[in-house]
Amino acid sequence: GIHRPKETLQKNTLSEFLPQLENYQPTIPDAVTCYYMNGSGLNSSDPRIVRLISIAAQKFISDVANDALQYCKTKSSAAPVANKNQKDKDGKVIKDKKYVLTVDDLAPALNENYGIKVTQMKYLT
Amino acid sequence: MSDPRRKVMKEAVCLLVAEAGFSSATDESLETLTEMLIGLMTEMATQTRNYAELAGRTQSVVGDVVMGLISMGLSYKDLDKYAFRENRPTARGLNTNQPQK
Repeated sequence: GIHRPKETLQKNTLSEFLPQLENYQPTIPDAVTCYYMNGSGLNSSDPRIVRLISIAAQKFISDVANDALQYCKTKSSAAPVANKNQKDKDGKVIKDKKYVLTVDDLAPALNENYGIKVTQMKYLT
Repeated sequence: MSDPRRKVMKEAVCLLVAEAGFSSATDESLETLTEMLIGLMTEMATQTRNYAELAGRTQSVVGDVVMGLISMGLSYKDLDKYAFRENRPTARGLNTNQPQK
């Protein structure tokens, strides 16, 4: 017969996942998700649909933020050491770099991973 | 800028960016992500409605959302891991405990 291990696995995870969504609080409130869903003509009374959409959207933003963080880390490690490395009592270099999300990190992350071109508005800076 | 829903969306973006490991962010990048989040949600809802109407229904089902996600090139496989991850942020004071009907 036809052996399809992957599909059965996916089906199981989705069917296990959906009942859990009934008592789930997404980061984006349901009312706000519903508003934007209504804006494009989707009126749903099923809370699972609302939460599935909001979780999927949040995951996208989290993935983009993670990619941007990788760019930010690469850039800060490649850059010459402008600020002197602070050392603690044992002489170890303290590694608490503070990462700032800028469009310079966001633009290459979006361009290379998702094919979205971001143009920075120079006149705003 | 007086749209309260957009403020909530921006707050969600801020929470997710902070969770990713950034300590601060420029307003320009946050607005870019907020606009993307709103656009993505609108597109997902449109896709879901289209798949429901294609099947001759007016009420969409979960399968329509999944089909919409697939057609947009997004994977739904890791959504459960993502949804129940450790230390996920919640917007305090915004989420009500009442289940949505």
